[in-house]
Amino acid sequence: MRDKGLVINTKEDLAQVEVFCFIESCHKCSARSLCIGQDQSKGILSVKNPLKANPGDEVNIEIPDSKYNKALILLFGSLLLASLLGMGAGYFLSPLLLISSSAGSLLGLLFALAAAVIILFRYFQKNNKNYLYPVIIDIIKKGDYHG
Amino acid sequence: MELVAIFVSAILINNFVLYYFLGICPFLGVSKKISSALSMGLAVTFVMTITAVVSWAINHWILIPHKLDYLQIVSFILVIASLVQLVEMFIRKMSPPLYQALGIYLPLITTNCSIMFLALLAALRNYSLAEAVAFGVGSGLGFTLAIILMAGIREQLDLADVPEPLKGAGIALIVAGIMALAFMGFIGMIK
Repeated sequence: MRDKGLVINTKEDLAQVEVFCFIESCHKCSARSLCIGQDQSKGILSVKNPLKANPGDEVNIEIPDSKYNKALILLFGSLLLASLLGMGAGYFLSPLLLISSSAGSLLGLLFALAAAVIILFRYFQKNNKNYLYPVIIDIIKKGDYHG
Repeated sequence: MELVAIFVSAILINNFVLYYFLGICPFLGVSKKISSALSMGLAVTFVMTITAVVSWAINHWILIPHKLDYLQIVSFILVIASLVQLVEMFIRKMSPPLYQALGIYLPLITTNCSIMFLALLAALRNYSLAEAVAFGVGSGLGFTLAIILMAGIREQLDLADVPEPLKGAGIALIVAGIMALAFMGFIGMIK
């Protein structure tokens, strides 16, 4: 997905971009305050800045939709699978631990979720967590920044 | 057998979206592409499963023994909101850009009435833990099935010549209605 935006700030490899379509598509939405704040009518994204755009520049950004979806499927799919496996394991191990099957299932769920969270956390840390940032792919118009 | 009946019934017969017409906001909002529909469906399935388990534990270990059943709605709201907050904090710490990209995604799960309905219905029907889990997973998969089918149809609709006044939400609601009629065909599958 591509969007137009205005660079408002830069820091190291990242730039803060005010995205135009955010404002247009959210304009009439009654749930706007949920995602962009009550008083804020702008969508501001942190994006990777390989073209070294400066504040005031109008840019095109590309949002990696497929990467987000893969990451979300991996995240929630593995959490769901871990929960079910943990509950199943807890249910079958509960007689050995001398606890009720319900308590065993809940314990299994807690342990499985904790393990899944640690594994996922390490996975995302290891696989360059920055790969999900949107990227500036084009500078449409240079701003009047002279720094 | 009872567990299978609850599971299949939650997916096909008493589908939360197409039978009860709950969770319509994410159903219409995130059903434009199959991939995003799948990730939304998995997210809702995960939250529904955990909600079913945690609300069962709170209901059977705290509310019922202390005769506090009248606090069910308040405590379930608290459970769902806390769960989604935990997921949100985890994603924020794990991957800031993913958190940034989610936008309305997580609030859509929090404010999804179908999750509240799941917790209340499981308590009302006095399900055991295993039944509550089967009901939670089945309801989530039913939601996923409905949203993926809808996304598939909407992807095809992009290529169709839809009359101008019906474009967008209009045709989406008509399609949802026809899908609900089709799913009525499953009634009678389980007695």
